[in-house]
Amino acid sequence: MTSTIDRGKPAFEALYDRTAERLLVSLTRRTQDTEVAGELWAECWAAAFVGWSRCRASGPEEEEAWIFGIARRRLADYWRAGAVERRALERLRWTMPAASTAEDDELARIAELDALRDALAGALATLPEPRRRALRLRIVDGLSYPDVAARLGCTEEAARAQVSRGLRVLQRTIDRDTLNYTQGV
Amino acid sequence: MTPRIDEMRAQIHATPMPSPAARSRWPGRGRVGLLSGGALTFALAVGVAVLLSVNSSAPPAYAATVHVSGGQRTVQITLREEQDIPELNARLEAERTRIRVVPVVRGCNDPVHEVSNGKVIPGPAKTLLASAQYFHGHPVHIVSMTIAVNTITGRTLVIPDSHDGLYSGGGGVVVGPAPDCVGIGPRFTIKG
Repeated sequence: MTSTIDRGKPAFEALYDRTAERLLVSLTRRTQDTEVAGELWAECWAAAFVGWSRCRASGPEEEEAWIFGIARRRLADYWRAGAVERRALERLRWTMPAASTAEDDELARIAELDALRDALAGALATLPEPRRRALRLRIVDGLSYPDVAARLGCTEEAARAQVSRGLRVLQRTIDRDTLNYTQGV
Repeated sequence: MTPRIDEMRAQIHATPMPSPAARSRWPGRGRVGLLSGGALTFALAVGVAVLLSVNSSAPPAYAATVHVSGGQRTVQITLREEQDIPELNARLEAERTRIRVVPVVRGCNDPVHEVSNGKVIPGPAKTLLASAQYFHGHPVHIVSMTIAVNTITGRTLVIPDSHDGLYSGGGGVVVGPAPDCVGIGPRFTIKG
């Protein structure tokens, strides 16, 4: 089944042409940081280039899901490590594309970061106080889960649950707006 | 945004595509075995207790289930189809484990720094290798294993996976995130 699919470079370049900008905007909205988003985006494409032969997508939509899946994993690694990996870029000896301030400003405008911040603040305000506090301690203050649990006076599992549920609400806000953006293109 | 996007595209265009890696030939075909017996070997070597169980019943296509008992956290991993590796890894990530399943790929070149007995092995980074394990002339197939989770920040336990079971075995604990693939090592025969 998958052996009949074109996995050559033209297909990869076509995927890039279709999704490069959308992926960059998506990462910008998720990180709220144009510089970090640019680094993650470049590493994603390098990793995708290296792993293209293993992509099992059966069509354009699945290919796009594949590259966005890579981005999600890289983003999760970034949240965990606090730094962007450059392994694939270094392996390919690719350089990180430089972006001017004007380019970053343009990216922030297209990603509608200001509006998104307002939306996230609104979503955050709808959360119950313990969940909002758990998110602030974990995400803003960067505390470990045991420390978050100690501050909240609950178990570590309960603290994880509070943060996870809160993040899901915020994620829905980001996804909803990303969907609007995609439909608007 | 165009200059950045154009610059990356130029790099893509100027770079030869990496050699196609060995890929699954059997989507839709029944898969016999997966997770490696070798993982047992290396996991024990690095102090991660693996309580192994081979399922003879019909387990789900993939699963990662965390159990907490007496302060010890274990995760049971089940995988039947190589194509489910991304979903399984997403589940492992959601469970906040530093365990990742990585496909065995012929010609893999993804060097990492390996950890042995809690210490980083000195020297240059190397591609991990997975060895097929044989018992009385037959490859060892494992579809489910339970691992005692001893999460170490910045390190990842890599469990190799092959589509036909021939290269099951090997892997290890690495510094940083898991590599994209594991290479093929020599066969290993289990005595007994």
